[in-house]
Order: sequence, then structure tokens, then C-alpha cells
Amino acid sequence: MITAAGVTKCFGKVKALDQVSFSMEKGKIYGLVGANGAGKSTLLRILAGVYRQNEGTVEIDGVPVYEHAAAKDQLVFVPDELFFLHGASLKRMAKLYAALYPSFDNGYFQSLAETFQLNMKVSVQSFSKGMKRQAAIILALACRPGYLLLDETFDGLDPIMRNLVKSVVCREVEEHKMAVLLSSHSLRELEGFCDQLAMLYKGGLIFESDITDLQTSLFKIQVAFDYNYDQKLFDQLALLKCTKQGKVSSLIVRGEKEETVAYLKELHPAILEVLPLSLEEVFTYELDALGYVFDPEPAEKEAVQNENQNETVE
Amino acid sequence: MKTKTKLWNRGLFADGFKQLKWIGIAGLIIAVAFALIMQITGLEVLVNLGNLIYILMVPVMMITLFGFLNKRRGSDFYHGCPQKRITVYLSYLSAVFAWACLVIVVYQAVSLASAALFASGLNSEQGMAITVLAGRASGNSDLIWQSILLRLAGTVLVMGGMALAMSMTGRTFTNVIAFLVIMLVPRVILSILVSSYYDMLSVIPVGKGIYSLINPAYQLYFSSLGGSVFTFSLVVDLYMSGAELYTGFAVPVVYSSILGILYLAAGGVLFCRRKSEAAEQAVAYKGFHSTLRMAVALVCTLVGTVKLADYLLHTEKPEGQLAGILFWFVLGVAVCFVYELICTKQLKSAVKCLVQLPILAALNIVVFLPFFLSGKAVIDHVPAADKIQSVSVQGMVTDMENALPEAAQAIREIELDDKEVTSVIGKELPQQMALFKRNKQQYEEMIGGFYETAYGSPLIKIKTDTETQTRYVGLTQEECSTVRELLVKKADTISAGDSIKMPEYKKENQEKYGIDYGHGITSFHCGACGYDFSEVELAKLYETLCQEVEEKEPPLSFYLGSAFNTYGVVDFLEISSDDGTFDFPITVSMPKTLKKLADMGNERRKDFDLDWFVNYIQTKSPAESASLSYILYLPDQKNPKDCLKAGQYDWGEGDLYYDSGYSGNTLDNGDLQELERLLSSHKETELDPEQSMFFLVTKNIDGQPTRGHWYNLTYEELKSLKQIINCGSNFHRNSFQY
Repeated sequence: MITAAGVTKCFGKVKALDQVSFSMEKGKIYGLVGANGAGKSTLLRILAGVYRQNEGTVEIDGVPVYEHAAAKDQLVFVPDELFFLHGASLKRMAKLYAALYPSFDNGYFQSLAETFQLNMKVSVQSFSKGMKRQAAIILALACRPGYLLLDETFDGLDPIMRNLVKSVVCREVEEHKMAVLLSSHSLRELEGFCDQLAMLYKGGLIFESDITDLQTSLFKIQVAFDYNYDQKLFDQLALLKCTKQGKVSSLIVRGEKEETVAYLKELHPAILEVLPLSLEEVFTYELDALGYVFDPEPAEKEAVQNENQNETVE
Repeated sequence: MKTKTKLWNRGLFADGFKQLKWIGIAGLIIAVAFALIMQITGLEVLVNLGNLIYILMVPVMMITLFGFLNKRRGSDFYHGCPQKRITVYLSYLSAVFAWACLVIVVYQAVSLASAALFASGLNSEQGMAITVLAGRASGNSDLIWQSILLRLAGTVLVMGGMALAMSMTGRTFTNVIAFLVIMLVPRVILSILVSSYYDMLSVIPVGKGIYSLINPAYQLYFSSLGGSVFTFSLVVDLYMSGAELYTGFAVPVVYSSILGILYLAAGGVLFCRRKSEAAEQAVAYKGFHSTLRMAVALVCTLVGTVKLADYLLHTEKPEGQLAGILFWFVLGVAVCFVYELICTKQLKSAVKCLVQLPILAALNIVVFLPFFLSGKAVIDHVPAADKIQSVSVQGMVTDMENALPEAAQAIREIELDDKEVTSVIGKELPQQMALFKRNKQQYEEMIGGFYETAYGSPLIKIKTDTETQTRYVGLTQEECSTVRELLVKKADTISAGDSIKMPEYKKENQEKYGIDYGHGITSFHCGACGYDFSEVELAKLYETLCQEVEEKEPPLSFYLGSAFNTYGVVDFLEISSDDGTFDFPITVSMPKTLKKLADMGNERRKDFDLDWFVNYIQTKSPAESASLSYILYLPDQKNPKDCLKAGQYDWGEGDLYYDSGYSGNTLDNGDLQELERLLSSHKETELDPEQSMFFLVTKNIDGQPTRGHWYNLTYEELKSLKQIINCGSNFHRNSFQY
């Protein structure tokens, strides 16, 4: 298990991480979200032993990661900025990985390269951005890591490849109990893939939860009554948010869905509709409840819009 | 979970070796091309280009292989991999070293092979240089190893400097700057300080060991860089540049290797401690950036500082000198500013860095004060004439360069308390020091004038009742002669006894390896005939000399070779030992050695035809111009101070030999006839230096090589021959003197 306790990292006067505690169990996929500059990449680098934290500890099964080759042997980090030797082919890169990672499985690498249909003999520099990502991922997976740290890895992958990568990763998680930590600034990328979600906000870890619990714990209800009413009508409910327009109210409620619906039905609503919440909405409301503002950056919004368009076209 | 302790990873080494493949192959091709071109064209100037392997190729390889340190993605990749940093460091270093070794060995092998193939078609000088380069001269294969070791040491040094620089900095530009600072700046600063100090105080000698300290040859990158620059300029003495490479190789190899290993160790420590986030930063460690900047700027300002000290010491200031001094300070500040601007690309930072100028100023003041104060002390403190008790000659006037160190030291310790000497020094020194204080330029012109007429300004140790000073004192020719005569007189009366030993010649080396260049005779210099004696012959000659020295127990002056044996010297035996190279005179007072030399010479020059020479001078018209020279050596056992050497250069032109004032250009036929008679009537008998003999050398006669032969004469014949030379106007003559 990877455990990070009270991790603080400063770059000069800037505190990139502040007292972050975090743990990763084998056999699970963790999502790490946060806006740009939240400290996601820094946390991943510290977990990977690339950076040394100023305070706190990062250990794998009780062994510090930083400068401990044996601990690092269990994990592979795929950064946002990928490294390939100048002019090297995928085959050449595999040799470098084999020299660096004792557990590198060349047979598995060959089969992954075939699965992803990547040319092993041409220079990786000639690959597209997405192909480079694929190359980095299959090299990382071929190392048979116990822990795989992926930083913005789906960035640049088309939906088909993204699904392929997800399926390969999921298979590794299932078959070999590999743990994955995936950082992203897009919740949509992580939705349906991660078991756990954590959020970094200005260098601090402000939220960590099981994704199933998260998605089932909140729901949205639209309700209207023929009679006049105010918010006091819903005092019995665990409301996170309530907005009223005319006689129609939108409620964000935490708790058991059936119990809530039964309670509202007793109030004889003219309209009662339960709506599902997207992960992003759940996150927004949860953070709102905690007093934070989760506002995906314009870039992310744009990315989400593009993604939606792509999915519509497909 | 076990921590791995592997320091070297074969896979990483192979990876590093592969990454350097194209640079290595290019290096091999260029090295082979240089080696072939050098041998085929005879351009020995290219010999130093072999050093480009470590001057250029190794740094490029280091930057290529360790370049990941300069890029964030590369740095993160290697910092995150499950290898110890030291494993990556050592594995990649070994890859660079392996390529360098390969190129060095191939270069050497191609040089050797092509020398064997092409040397025969070259002229003697080229052939000689090439055989030296190829290690075939005198059958000494050590030269090849020396060359390889020198370049390997250079490689280790450069790898160390580069590793240290790259571990400390995070950009290619700062890598290079830091490397140059590490490699050159300490040497440059040291050289500036030492040379400026002795340039400023040209009246005092350079301290013992100073030249060893600043000897640029020790630091191979520093010396090779200079050597290569000169090589490219094509002005360097070609043969010397090749030969210099192999002289005294042990110290540079050891010094540079140790320095390189220390750099590698320091680089390793910093490499392991380095943070990944240092990539793309100008420097990896706080404070090093300003240190680098300061070091570069300091080189400039120190020149100004030492010049300023020099300027302030003298009362008459040369015009424009102050502006020159100011230039160096401004340059230092500009360097500081530009360096920061290039590194940070921010004008604000460049301006901000000027805040550190007081530190730069303080460093310069630290240098200035001892420079100025010690200079002032030297100039102002001159012993009065009547206080001088004795003087001893430390150099120049005795020309003791090639004497045994013990003998030279013994001579230096001879104290001359004669009034004629102390009064000369007591008169000259205060005058000259006053002139030095007033105007250094005029002082140097005055000293230059002494060089034209005498021995220049010998180094004199002056003893008063309270202190001892050593100063250069300009002496006139007459004053020099006075000092010299008194010194010789004393040296002739001092027995060297057991205190001075002839350098030991290690016979076992000769038997085992043929000859060992480090111990014993390396060469025999025969100024007259250019004999090419074998090592065995030379060893035997030296044995004879040693035996005779033991029997005769000559005075101290004997060991001073050219310095004191101003008469009766036929030739010198040059001996190299562990302590250096020394000249031993072969004189008429050493008849056994002289006979051995003469017999060896005659054995080598059996083909010398005296009749041919006699016939030649009989038939040659005196008025006919021809390129001819012959020299007669006439050692006189009974009058050792009256040994003669006489010669004739340029038949028909008749001048140029020894006496520059000689202007006669006609031969006296009577004299020639007497010489012909003596030579014609001569009969070959066994040489006997105890009786008398003469040595005839001919040079450049009708394109013939230089030849010489020893002949016996009766003493009467010798006297007659000496008389001809002394009386005849057609010979240039001199007593035996070198």
C-alpha cells in the first residue's frame, strides 16, 4: 500500500502541497482531480519518488519511496510530459525500460504493442500525440507495476483508444491487483473508471470518497405543489441545495432516495421527478457544501464541450 | 523489501553506449582520418588533434548522455526509475569512457600502422617525428602507452569536470560555462596572480615550486586546449609539439587523473543529491549561480587589480595605463551583467545581480592588498653597499641549467666576500632599484641593455649582517667577468668528494627492456658529428666516465659542465635520470672517456676517407664558392687551457665561425699546404689521448653527410697544427668552449 502522510512540498516560496495525506490500496483505481495548479502533478511526482517532499512521508509498504530503488521497482509513473530518447523507436525505448525496470516483461510489451497497433520500428517522435501516450502507457504496463501513476494520461487519446487503455488497465487491476492513480482536471474522464476519487484544491486534499457512494449519496428532485409553500416544507430532508422558481423547487438531497421520495409523496406534490446527477454535479454540490467552489477551468469546459461534440458525431 | 546495492548496470551501460553511437562513430572516423592525414602528408602539426578526443568529443558525449538532467521530462524519468542514482551515474560514465577508450586506441593503432607504411617515403625530419609519434624511435614502445595514458587521463579529467558541471547546473549553456569555469578558471586565476606578481616585481626571482604549481602541462585540458589552439594556428614548431607531448608525461597523467577522479566523485555526490526540479534551471544548487558569475567576472577584474597594484608602485606612470586598468574593471562588471542576462533572459535580474558587485570588489581588495604591500616592501628595502657582507651567484652568470642539482646548489652556496664583488653589487643594486621604483619601463630597458653585452642580470643572493635578499642585478660584461673568475677560482678548489654522486644507471633495465627512458642515458649529444650511438654504446661510455670520475675525484667545477669547464671540453654526454637531464663534459682531463668516445666514433665512421678530404682541399679553388665546412678539434693534454677548435665555413666566403668580428675572406695557401702535408703524412695508429690526437669533422661537402674521424698525432705535429691555426688568417678559431 502507498501511504502519504502530511506531505508538504514547496517550490521556493510557493507551497504546492500542504499537509496532504493519502493512501492507495492494491486492486483499486483512484482518480485525482483538481484545477490546473492544484498540485496534482506534484503529488504524483512525490508518490513516484521523483520529487522529495519538504515535510511528511511517502512509503510503499513502510519503505520510503524517494531514493529507494526497491520501492520504486513497484511503481511506474507516466507523466504529463512524456520522455522518449531522441530518435528512438518503440523497440529501442523498450530496451531502455528493460534496463531500468527489472520487472519489464518484453512478451507482454510485444502483445500490447500489437493490441495498440503501434509501429515498433519507427521513431516515436514521428508518432502523433495520442500515439505517444499509447506508447508511454504500454511501456509502463509492460513493467508490470504494482502501482501505476498516470498524470493527465487520457489527454490526447481518442475515445476508442481511451476505452482500450481503460480496458487494458482494468484487466491489469483485476488480474494482477495493480493499483492505479489517475490525475485529471476533467471529472468526465474519470467517471465510470475510478473506484475512489480525491480532489486537490490549492495544494490541499479536500475530498476523498468512494465513487459509488458518492454518486448514490446525492440525487436531484424536481417537485411542484398546487399550494403555497416555502423551504420549511423540506426541513425533514438533508438538503444540500434548494432553489424555487414559482411553485417548482429543485432539491439536491443527501440520503436514501426511496425514503425521500416516499416522504415527498406524502406531501401530495403536483409533480415529482427524481433526476440523476453527473459526477461533476455531485462534486460541485459536495464541495459547495464544504465551502469550496468547484469551477472547472475554461479549458476544461472547452474540452468537455469538444468531447460531447465528438461523442455526438460518433 | 530489500534495498538494491548494485552500482553498475550492464543494461544501462549498453543503453548509454548505444545512445552515443553516432558521436562515437563520427569520432572514430575523424580520428582515423586525422591519423592517416598526419602520416601521409607528414603534417605532424596534426598530432595534437588527437587530443580533440577529450577536448571536444568527451564533452559532447557527456552533454548527450547526461542531457536528461537539463530537461524536465528526462530528469523526471530517470529520477523516477527504480535505479539508484549512483547506478545511473556510473553506468553512463562508463559508457562515455568506453567510447573514448575505443577512439583513443583506434587512433593510436592507425597512427602506428600508417607510420610503418608511410614513414619511409618522408624526409628525415618528418620520418623522425613520425617514428617518435609511432613510438618506434629507438625501439621504445613506451611512447605509445604514454600517449594512450595521457589521453585517457585527459578523458577522466574532462568527464569529471563535465559531470560536476552538469550536476550543478540545469541548462546546456550553464553546463558549458560551469565546465569551462571548473576546467580553466582556477588555472587562469592562478596563472594571472603568479605571473602578474613576478612581472610586477621583476627584480625578484620566482619562488621555488611556483612553476610546478602553475605548470599548465599538469592540467591536461588546460594545456591541450592551448596546444590545440596553437596547432590550428600552424605556427608551433611541429616537431616540438609532438615531442612535448611525451616529455614528463607521468606528472600530468597522475595529476589530471587524480583531479578528474575528484571531480567525478564530487559530481557523483551532487548528481545523487540533485533534485529533479533543477532541470531547466540555470543552476541546481542555490548560490552556485552567483559563484559561477563571480568566477567569470573575477578573471577580468583580477587583471585590473594586479595592474593597478603595479601602477601604484612606481612614481612615474605611463600614459594611458590607468584607462587600460579601468577597462578590465568595466569588462568584469559587463561580464557579470551579460552572464546574468544570458542565463535568466531578464533585464531585471541582470541589473539586480549588480548588487553583488561589492563582493566582487572585496575579493579584488583581498588580492590587491598583499600584492601592493609586498611589492612596496621589496622596492623600498634595499641594503646599503657598506652593509653587504657577501654575495652568492644563483644563476645566469654561471649558466648552470644542465648541471647536477647538488653541484649547482653547491656553487650557489659559495659566498664571495671579496671586496671587488661586494662593491660591484653594492653600487649597482641601489641604483637599479631606484630606477625600478621610478620607472619600470626604463629599468627593463636598462636590463635589456645588459643582456646585449654580458650575461644580463644574474640572480644574486645578498647577505648583510641582519638579512639575506635575492635580487636580479644587472652587470656589465666587465663586472660579470670579475664575478665569474672569482667563482670559478673557488669552485676549482672545492672537491666534490662523496657529496655528489653520478646518477645511477640502471643496468637491469637495459638488460630487461633494452633501455629505460626514465632511468639512465637517453641521448648522447655530439655537437660536432651527430653520432647515432646505440644505447649499449652510450651505457658503456657512461660507465667509463663514472670509473674515471671515481679515480680522479674531480673538483666541483667538473660537475657543472658547460658552466665551468670552459677549456678542454670536446663534447658533452647528456644524461637523463629520475632527477632530470644533465650534461657531463668529456674533456682532455678525462682521457679514458675521451678515448672511448673517439674509438666509438671511429668505429661508427669507418668510411671516412682522409685522402678524399685532402684531395678535395687540394683541388678546390680558394676563390670558388661552395657550401663546405670542416672543423678541427685539437685537445692538448699538456696544455688543457690551450685546446683549440678551428673551422672553416663556406669555402671561399670565409666567415661566420665563432668570431663575429672576423672579416677575412681569402685562404692562405701556405697554411693550407701545411695542413695538407700533416694530413697526408698521417698514419692510422691506436688513439692515445695521453699523447695527442685531433678530430676532423666535415659537413656539407658536396652533399655528403656530416662525418668525422679521430686521428693520432705526435705532440710535435699537434703543436705545428696549432701554430698554423693560431697564425693563419684563414681559420676561425676558438678555445674549446660551449
